[in-house]
Amino acid sequence: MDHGLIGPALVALGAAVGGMARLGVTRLAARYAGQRFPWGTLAVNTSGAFAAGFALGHLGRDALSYSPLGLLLLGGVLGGYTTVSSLSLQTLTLWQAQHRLAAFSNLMGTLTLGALLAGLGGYLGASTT
Amino acid sequence: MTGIRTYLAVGAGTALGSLCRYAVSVGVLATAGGAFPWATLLVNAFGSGLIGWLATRATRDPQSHWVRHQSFWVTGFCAGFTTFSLFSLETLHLMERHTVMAAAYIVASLVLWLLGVRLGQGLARSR
Repeated sequence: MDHGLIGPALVALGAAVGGMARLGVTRLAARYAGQRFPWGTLAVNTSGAFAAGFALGHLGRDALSYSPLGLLLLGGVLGGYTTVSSLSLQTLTLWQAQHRLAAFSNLMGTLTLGALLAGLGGYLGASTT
Repeated sequence: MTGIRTYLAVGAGTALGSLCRYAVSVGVLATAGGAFPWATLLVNAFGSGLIGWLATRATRDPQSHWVRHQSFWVTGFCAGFTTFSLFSLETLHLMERHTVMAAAYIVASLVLWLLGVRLGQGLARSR
């Protein structure tokens, strides 16, 4: 579990890449799907959950638990790519703007799709080993 | 601030946020063990609180440091500190083994995320 400075370096490096990818996706979504609903955050979180599930299914838990690869992929890239803070803020903003149904759909939709896609990713990942 | 500078600011902020999340996860694992995903619960609740505070400060004081460096702190740090991918994996993992614990994790997460962001907003307004 202790990789000295290599662990933190892998997390930071992966996260920088993941964060910039998130910005790219949310900007594309804002441009093509509009800004009335946070489609970008939804896309980022659901695709990130799928990718995490796939990685876990494909590589196995042991290969990812606090290993250099796990730190880079899960702690870094996908941890930086996905976000709960934006999900919380956008849900609260929709709710306070009286878009109650959109707020509820955003939160519950992200949660449900995230779990489903992580499961699907795990299944597909395991079947491609 | 547009283009490449925004991407660099977001990348750097996300890296710092993720490093802090990593430090929390190592610390929590050493003290509370790995049976329940306390670390993810903690970073997601705190990150939601922080973004609520930052976003509200930004609308109240458009000249502030936080607004000029919003890409770094809001789009970068808060998002890097929190994680949805790990939350989804942990939820699935708990569902397969311990339904009650999975339900508790989901409910606690939802409550803490929303309570966190609302609390952050409230604190920023009361200043």
